[in-house]
Amino acid sequence: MSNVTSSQQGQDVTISIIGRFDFNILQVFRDSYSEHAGTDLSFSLDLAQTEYIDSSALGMLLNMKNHLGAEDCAIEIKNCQPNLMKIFTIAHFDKKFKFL
Amino acid sequence: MQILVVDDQATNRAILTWLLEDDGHTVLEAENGLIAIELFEKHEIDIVLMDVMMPVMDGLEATQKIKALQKDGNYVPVIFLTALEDDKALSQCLESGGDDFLSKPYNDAVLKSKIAAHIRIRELTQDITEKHKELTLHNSRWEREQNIVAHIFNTAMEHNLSDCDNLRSHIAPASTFNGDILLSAPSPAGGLYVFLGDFTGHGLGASIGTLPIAHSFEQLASRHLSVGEIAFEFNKMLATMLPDYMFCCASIIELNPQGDSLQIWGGGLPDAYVINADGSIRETLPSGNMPLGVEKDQSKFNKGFEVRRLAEGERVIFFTDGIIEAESPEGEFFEEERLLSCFESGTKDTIGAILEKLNNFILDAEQRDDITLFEVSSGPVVINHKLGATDTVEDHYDGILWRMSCKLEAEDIKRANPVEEIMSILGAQTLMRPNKDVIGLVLAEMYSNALEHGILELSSELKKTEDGFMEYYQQRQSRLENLTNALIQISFRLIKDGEHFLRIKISDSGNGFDVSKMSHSSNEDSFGRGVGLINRVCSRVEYLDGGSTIEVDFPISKMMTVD
Repeated sequence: MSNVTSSQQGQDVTISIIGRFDFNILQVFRDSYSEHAGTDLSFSLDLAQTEYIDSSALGMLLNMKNHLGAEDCAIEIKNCQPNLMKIFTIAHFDKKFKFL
Repeated sequence: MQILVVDDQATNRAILTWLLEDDGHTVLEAENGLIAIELFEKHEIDIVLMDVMMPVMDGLEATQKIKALQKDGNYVPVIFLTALEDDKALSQCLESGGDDFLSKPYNDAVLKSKIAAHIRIRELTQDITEKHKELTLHNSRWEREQNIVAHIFNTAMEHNLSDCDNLRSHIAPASTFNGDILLSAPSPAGGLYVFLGDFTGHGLGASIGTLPIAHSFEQLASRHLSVGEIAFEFNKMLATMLPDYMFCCASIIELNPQGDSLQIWGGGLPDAYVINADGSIRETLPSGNMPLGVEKDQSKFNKGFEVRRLAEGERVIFFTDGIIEAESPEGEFFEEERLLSCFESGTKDTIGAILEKLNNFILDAEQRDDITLFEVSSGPVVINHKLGATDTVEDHYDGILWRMSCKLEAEDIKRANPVEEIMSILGAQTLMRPNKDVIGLVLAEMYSNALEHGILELSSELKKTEDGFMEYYQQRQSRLENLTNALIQISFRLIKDGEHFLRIKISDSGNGFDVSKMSHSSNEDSFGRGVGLINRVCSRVEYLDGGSTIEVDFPISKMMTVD
């Protein structure tokens, strides 16, 4: 089962995705950032507990980036596991997001 | 009891025999020392009653010889019955090996109670001898078993530490068996994994748990799992295997190939330290989780981990608690303070400084717990002689070229995740393992395309806007719920064309699409990404049957790596 949590500390919003990151969490994922559109907040995704991603997750990430009007690499992705990193790299996402 | 009565006077012998037989003993008689020895050799004698002055051989000499004949641990008391009364004669009796004496004329009751007392001693001695024998047997058996187990442990552990320039370690077990375990393995990407564990207790009991860990560590490393996932796997294994009071404090790290980023999962070991290039402490890293084997509920296990950047010259040191709790001859503990004093700015060789301080502290005191520490330093990972896992996907595969296929009907398609089920079967194949994640991705994308475009006839055009994206997946759900008649066929075939490939073919019962009009999306678009992913990792992608079948070849002999 998947779970999305979002927390804000000062100017930083961290969205954590637990379990599978795919279209099944589309709505909750969208809700986690959409209310902050147009603000100066900085966003990061914590994928430490994310087990799976597919192309729908990639699409969702791009939607998030476009929705927030974020520059390339303005959104940080933290604690990405090596198996998921492989997929991000194959999709050339390492140039669109900042992996920490 | 069988009693030997030695006396040259037949009357004396007769009286004693009568007295003793009356008490339930059997009696053998000898009229001098020589005959006594003969009888003693032939019969199982429990007690000897010995006269001193006799012809042929006197009681003193006979006693010496009888005592010499007694085997180890078989205590046969010799009681002298003598008319002599001077101290010198009595002490001679004892010097010759006699155990007691009684002056003639003797009192019946005193004689009987002396015999009874010596029988008790004899029985006690026999008991002890018996126990001693058992103990000796146990000991030699234990030693033999220990040797066997030590051999197994040594062979299990010896290949588990890679010779890597980035890794320095010190291991000092408190006994033959180490409850601490230090393992390292190369990651398929070219980095390094290190596992440091400390099982509760030490010695064989604590050591037992290290075996399965050592056994599976390299395998997990070769699957390129994250440190959190490795911790999860180990926790699952230990939680079921170990008794409740046993667990394993551990730290698992992965250093990336460039050696500038460290992923850390810590469960229950003492603080680790990030050390600046000058030897001072940059950061203290407390362990954030419970030890492995404690959390029995897998769903509550935290797979999260920490990531630290390492600049040039920086390193991280990890310990088991044996070092902090090391005792001096006065019984004082080494403690954290002494440890921290080793991290002074200007100290190049931190491990050397710690060991020197520790040795000067312990001196000749007995080491109570296993001590292990290791240091991992920044810089490109260099593993000097690469072991098993770095040969990565060895194309030494000469097994059968198998096929697997399945048909998914509407009911199967509606199920949560058929791809995941298939991958759990496929992923068990050693050959698939290194690329399991990428194969899973390819399969998931091929399946999504067959389902969403082939069967549910959803249009990618929708995904062009963010709301459309939402709409797309809402339509997907409602059309899926109403699906009654559909078929998706998936087949896998291992083929060899120089190297090995996995041929994946998916056909759907939909109407296909005009392959020539396939839209080419740019990298900015939120759609069409799946096809791009497939094209990027497969050596051949072909659409057949008017678009309702896709066939791809995935080169499994190549390791998909990430820089």
